[in-house]
Amino acid sequence: MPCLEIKLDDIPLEIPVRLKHDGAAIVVIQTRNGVSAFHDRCPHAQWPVSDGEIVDGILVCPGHGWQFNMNTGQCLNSPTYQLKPLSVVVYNDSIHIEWE
Amino acid sequence: MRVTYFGQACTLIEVAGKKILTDPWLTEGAYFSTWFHTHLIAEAGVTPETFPKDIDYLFLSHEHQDHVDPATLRHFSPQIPVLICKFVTAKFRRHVEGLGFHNIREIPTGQRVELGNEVAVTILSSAEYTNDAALLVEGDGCRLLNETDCKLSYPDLERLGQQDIDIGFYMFSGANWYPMMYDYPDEVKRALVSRRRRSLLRSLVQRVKVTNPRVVVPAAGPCTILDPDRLWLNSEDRGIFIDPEEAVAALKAAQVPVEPLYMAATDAWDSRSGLERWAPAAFRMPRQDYIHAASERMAAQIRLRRAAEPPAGSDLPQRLMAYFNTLVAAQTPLVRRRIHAKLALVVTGRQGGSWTVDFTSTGPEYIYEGLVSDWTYRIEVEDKLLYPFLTGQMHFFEDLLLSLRIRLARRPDEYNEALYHFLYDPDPERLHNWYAMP
Repeated sequence: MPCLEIKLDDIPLEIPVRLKHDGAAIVVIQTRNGVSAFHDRCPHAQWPVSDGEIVDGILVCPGHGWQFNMNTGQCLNSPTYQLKPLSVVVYNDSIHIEWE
Repeated sequence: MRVTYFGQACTLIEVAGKKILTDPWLTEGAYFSTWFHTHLIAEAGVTPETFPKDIDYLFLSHEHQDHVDPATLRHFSPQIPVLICKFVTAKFRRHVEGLGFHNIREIPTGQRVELGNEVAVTILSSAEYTNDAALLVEGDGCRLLNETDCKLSYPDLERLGQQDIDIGFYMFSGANWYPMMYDYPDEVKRALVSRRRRSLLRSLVQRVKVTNPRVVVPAAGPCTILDPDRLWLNSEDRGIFIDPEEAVAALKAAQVPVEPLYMAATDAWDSRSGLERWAPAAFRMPRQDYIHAASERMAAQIRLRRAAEPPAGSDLPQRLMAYFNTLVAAQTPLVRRRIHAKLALVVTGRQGGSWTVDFTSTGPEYIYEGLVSDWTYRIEVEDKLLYPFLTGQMHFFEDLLLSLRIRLARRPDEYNEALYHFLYDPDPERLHNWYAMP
């Protein structure tokens, strides 16, 4: 199972960060509630959500403005859409991310 | 290469001796006399009757009336080669065939097709359920992209970005009924409009950044609503139909390294000499001033057209129940579960009444008279506008929503995409395959 370890300090608060590892594109977001990571692909038209912005605590896709909960990846416009979440463990000052 | 713009997504592309005309909509008052061009096209001297017919190819992107206009297309030879995208179903091809054309070339998305004289076209289909297509034209050492209304996938846009596009026509304005026709309190509606307009302009900037053309023309809108009772739909704080000048300003503000170009209908661009302004001076006056003056000129005609709309037949209730019951019953349980709506239909007028289309029913009846208290989506519409869809005279139910002569509500306030897809194209196999995808 591919995995990735990064420093917590490398992920600024509420700014989506794009990482590429093992051919996978990942977006990592740190909020006041913790750290979440998703495949960096909007389920609507495959835009990289890491190019989006966070407005009022909501991740907004740059392509067509679809909105996502930063913690769960759930789409707020249409409940059928969701960013694909990755397993995230934070310990000390590190973030460990795993995906299939 | 030379391209002349005729409003919306209509471009006449002249390249290496070939003429390709895209999405010709040269009349006014699409969708039950609601949609007019950004500027009245006849006032630039353009009519279906007088428009030059020496066209080598027509490209038709999708079925919307401002892209495929029967009243315009009947003036073209039925022999003319018509380029369309090979969509998942044959519905669009059949629609074009139904207009009399019999030289239709369905091109699979992404396939580059040579037209002779070293001119080639590539059609790219939408990333969405809806049928739509964009066109890339290559020739004379130039590349032109016409997005039409098509929402391309990011990978397709990235590939376009590697092709050194010289000029691109990009959609930037809203073109549907959300949020204006919903029953939100006014302040909520204004906030949603503001958010939607920001999102549309941001999307334009992002798509331009990814596709990286040399010249960008805001296109495929905005439509203009000239019905004197609905002029509010054109306003900046209550409507989503954005002024092209705003799109140009957004591109400049984002400092995207492109040349944003405002082209009004009949303006032309030549790859050697650049922009040629041919549009009447009135097309460059402040947009709201233009709209109010145009509305005054068109008000009498709109009234006449509305008065000539045929009434609904007295069999509307029976037809409505049969129409929806048949369509819902034909869906697979998976699709009905995904839609999971109770659609309230409130039909006004002499043949009016209330019905609930219940996708949660176990069948065999999926529609009943009256409204249930827990409806989830509500459409209120005049009987005479609904009736042509029930008789099969009109085939695209979305046209009714695009008429903006409806009132809508939803509970909870969230987008039910599956319901929208059902209303857009209820083909059971297509819907099932879409929702059965992992």
